[in-house]
Amino acid sequence: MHAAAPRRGVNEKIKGFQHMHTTSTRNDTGESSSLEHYVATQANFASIISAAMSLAMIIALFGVVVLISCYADDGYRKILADLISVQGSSAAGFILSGAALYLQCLNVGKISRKLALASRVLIVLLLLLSAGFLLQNLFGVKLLHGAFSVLSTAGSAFGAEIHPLAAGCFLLTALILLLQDLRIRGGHYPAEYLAFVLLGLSAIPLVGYLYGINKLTFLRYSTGIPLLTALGFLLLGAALLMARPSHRLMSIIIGHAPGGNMLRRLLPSMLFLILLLNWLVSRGAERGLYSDQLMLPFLTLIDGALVVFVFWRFAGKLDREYGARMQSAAKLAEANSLLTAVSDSTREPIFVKNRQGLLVFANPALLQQVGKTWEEAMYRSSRELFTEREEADRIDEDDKRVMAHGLPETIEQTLHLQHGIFTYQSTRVPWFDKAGNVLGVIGISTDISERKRAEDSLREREAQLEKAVVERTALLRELTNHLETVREEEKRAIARELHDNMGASLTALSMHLESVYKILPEDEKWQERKPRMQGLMSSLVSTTRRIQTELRPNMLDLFGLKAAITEQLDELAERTGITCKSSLPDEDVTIGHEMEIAIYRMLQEMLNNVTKHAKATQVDVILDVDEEQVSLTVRDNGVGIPQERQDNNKTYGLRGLRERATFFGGNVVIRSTPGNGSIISIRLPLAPVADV
Amino acid sequence: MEDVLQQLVTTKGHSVDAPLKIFLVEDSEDVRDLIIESLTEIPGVVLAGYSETEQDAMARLENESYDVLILDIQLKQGNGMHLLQSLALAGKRRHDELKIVFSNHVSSTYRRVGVQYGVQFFFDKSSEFTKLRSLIERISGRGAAGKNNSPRGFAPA
Repeated sequence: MHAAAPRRGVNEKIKGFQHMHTTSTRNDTGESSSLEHYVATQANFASIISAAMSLAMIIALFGVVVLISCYADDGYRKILADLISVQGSSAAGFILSGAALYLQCLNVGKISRKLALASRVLIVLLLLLSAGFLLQNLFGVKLLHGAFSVLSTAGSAFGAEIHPLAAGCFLLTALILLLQDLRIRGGHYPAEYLAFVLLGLSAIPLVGYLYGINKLTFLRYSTGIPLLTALGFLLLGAALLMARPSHRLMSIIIGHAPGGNMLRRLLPSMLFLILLLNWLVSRGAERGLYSDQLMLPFLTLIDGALVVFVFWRFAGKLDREYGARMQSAAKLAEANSLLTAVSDSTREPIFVKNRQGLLVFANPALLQQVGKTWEEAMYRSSRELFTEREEADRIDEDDKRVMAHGLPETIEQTLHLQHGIFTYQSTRVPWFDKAGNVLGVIGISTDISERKRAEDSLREREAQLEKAVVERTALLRELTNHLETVREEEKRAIARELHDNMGASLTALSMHLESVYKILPEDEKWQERKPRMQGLMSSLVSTTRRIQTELRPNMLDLFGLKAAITEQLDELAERTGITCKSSLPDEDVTIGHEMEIAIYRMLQEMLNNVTKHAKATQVDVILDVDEEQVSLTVRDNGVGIPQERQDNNKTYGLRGLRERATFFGGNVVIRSTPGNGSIISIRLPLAPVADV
Repeated sequence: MEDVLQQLVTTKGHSVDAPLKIFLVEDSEDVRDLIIESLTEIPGVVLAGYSETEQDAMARLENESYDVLILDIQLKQGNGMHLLQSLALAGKRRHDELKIVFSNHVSSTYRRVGVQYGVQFFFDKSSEFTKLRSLIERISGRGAAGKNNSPRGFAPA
């Protein structure tokens, strides 16, 4: 699986999928996926075209060098004899062909009109030139003589003479260049075949030179084709073929397919072998090792042996290739059937869409879901597959997002299908090729309708429960408040009873006693008892009074909250010795009797807490009233309130505070650090109707 | 406070024949009887009237003329302090009368409120009746010569 490039930012799941995906494609071609192959071939094409361009340049330069040599001094002519033999006319042809080919290579796919036009001009020039040469050679028409007479001035070696084969070759070259991109029926390119003809023509004089047979180099003409000219045509033919590597014949040799492989491997060696052996045979005959008559049978034997060898080898290679292919096809079939089995038997809809959002794969579960056959669903968009337009659009949006981000997503979607409403949990994964390009999206959905229904009903029940709890809480709060009112009433009654009966009697009794004290016997016993009696009386009276005040804060009823708070603090200070400070608003507080008594009671509760638990030496009470809320803060410097007591609902004092505050829609905030005292703040919102 | 007392004493001293009229606001019958009994024993002291409730007192004080107003704080209906407040608000506050709060355990808050409404003396019901009596005696001008204790015994506001 080395071929699977590591994908960044994609989870294991994708990697797993990729693994599977690439396995199948590997088995498919034995090489790589088609796209990768395409990309690789593209790169190959580019390098071949650039090779063709360098060949074209070499050819054109060769022409230039020949031209320069033609004008060289006499002294150099001997050394440059070979170059000069090519002659100026051929050189001009090579320059034109090379330049035209170079431009054609630059302009693969006809991107630039200027380049196309330039190459056309060069080709036409070449065509005219070669046609002129041909006419001159074959029919003695001296069309170009005038033009060349200027060039072939005295002292130069510029030869206007040209071998008819060379002229023909130039004509052929011009034709090939003209027809280079012409494609005829069956995908054939005539230019390619013509290029092979050109190669074949150039091979004739080359073979002649190889075996030293003048007939082949002269070809019944007065002068022979120079070796360099023939080589130039050979190169030109090759370059012309390489200039268009994507064309039919070229694609065979450069392709990754076994045929191309074999061609590349066998062709050069075979050609070389044939040349070498045949040359050896002819050399043997020349040396007189055997008579010339034996040469032909020898050649037959050798060539026959070579043909047998080549065919055998070819057959063997083909068989091996075929075997490998069969093997991989079997593996592929196996993997395919496994995948099919998985995708067919699963009840989860699986689909693959391409970049355009068209369905390229769907398993039976998905087809059943949309109620279509594969033929009906193939290459369909979501809108064509699903009845609800909005749902289809949402699916497409999700797909696009997954493709754009390149990250998998799990999406919950509810679909109105032919056989009911279903909720699916759909996992979308981008479909990558090996280069990391997104080709589309893969989706696997799970029917979670049942779960969804259960969840919904659970949620509904939860909501009902919540509602019930809220109702009950309100009821309880109402009840608490009612109880509170009842308690207040009861307290008021007890306070009244205390005052009217017990208090009054006690007072009268102590007043009577005042008179009695005066007539007490003067003896020590009674005089000692007198203060004790006085003390008892005073303690009784003050206790009764305190209970009475606690039960019913008269001060609150009569003089309002500020006075009541002050009284409470005074009383606390007197009773416990705690330093009490208060910060009250300047103006009178009128926030409704009910709330005033609530605040009074809450303060009572908080001060109670302070005296019971805090061990404080100082208490600050801050009352703040604005238009929106009233806040009461009690701060002490005691031991603080432990966290568990703050949270504990069973701490009746604090719970009572919370209850009361909640009833008025307010809250209680407790801040305390152990050993550093505590701050309890109560905030009650002032509703406009609170002023009852 | 001594000034007020002195002024009152002198006022009374000028008109020896005019009795010192006391109006009592006290809801407890026992206590009330005891106070009336004890104070009217003092020569020159007469009871102008009494009220059990704030409402009643409010109505009656408009018509009665009195020199000393003795009031309890806690009433069966209403409150002595509130009565003072109502009087002040109604603009019926008289400047020459002596206002005495005679109640149980008067908190400092009540004291402050009382002073605000012109109360000159606060006495504790359970333990300071004797002091109240002495004060009335002194004001009436009769008992002042006889058993006048130090004014320090008073509980001025």
